[in-house]
Amino acid sequence: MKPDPPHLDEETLPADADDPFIEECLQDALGPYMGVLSPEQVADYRSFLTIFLTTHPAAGPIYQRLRARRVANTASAEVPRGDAADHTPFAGGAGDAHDDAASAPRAADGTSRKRTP
Amino acid sequence: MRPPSPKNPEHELISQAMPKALALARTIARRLGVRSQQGIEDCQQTACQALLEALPGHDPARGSFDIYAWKWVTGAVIRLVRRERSYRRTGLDDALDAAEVLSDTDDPFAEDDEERDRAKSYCRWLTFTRFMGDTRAALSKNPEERVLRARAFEALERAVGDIDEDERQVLSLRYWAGLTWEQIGLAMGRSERQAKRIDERLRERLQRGLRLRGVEQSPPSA
Repeated sequence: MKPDPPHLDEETLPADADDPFIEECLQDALGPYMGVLSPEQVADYRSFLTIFLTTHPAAGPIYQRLRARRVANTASAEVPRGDAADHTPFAGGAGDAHDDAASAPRAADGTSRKRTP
Repeated sequence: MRPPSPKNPEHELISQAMPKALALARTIARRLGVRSQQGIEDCQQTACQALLEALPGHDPARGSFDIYAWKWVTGAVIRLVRRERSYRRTGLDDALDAAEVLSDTDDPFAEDDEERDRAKSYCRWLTFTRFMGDTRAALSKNPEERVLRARAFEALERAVGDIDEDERQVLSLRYWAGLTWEQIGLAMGRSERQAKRIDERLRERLQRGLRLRGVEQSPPSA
């Protein structure tokens, strides 16, 4: 088994910063430990929490609901790229949808979203 | 015509969980930087193995199989990607255990702020357990590491506010020395219940950490 080398650094998780809800949770949880954890640990904790928030059966649905409401509240005719319902890990997961957002074109406000005609 | 044979509940569970495990493994692999198809398939194979190995240990009374399976699949895939060869318990295991007992109660009518606070609370708890576990692993190499303890308490005070001597003892004995509540009570000259209560107070403060640090104020209730 030879998976690609792990890149547990901030740069490989560009989608983290794109989702305000995830970033808010990460900042809140990790804030007190900054300066005590090494940069590698911080990146590792961030990736774990992001996986948790997007795929865990207790947290994933919250993430999806908040994401859906945010989209609904965003300017009309703007929907997120990818359909969370197409990907259903244990959380009913939006994990992949979130990943997909990483490669989506960035809007001027820094979010990833696709404009419908 | 033969009547349909009764389905094996374990087979049922596995057949329902396997597609989810494959999807979860793929999501985690991509998030951790695995890009090749081969790498993703390796992660998926590991996830299937983890699921099969985990099944006999599942106790329905303790919670849903989905949450139980999440813990095992996530742990196995993260370890594979990190290429961890030898097993040594770390904070990651503690965080995975903590994630197993989180409720998957679904409340579609919950307000946004309520949901945000719940998700933040989960993240604070997982980070705390992971941090304590990683500190325990570091201290196991050098139990007298005073600087490490001091820095850990500094971080914990930022998370939960001032920590008094009793609380420091509970944190040390419970999370770093791994003593039972009975042993902790004896060591502190307190009852088991009193020692547990100190821990509960710390947890409550951790839950309220958001407001303690003044990061965000919840709006007044209607």
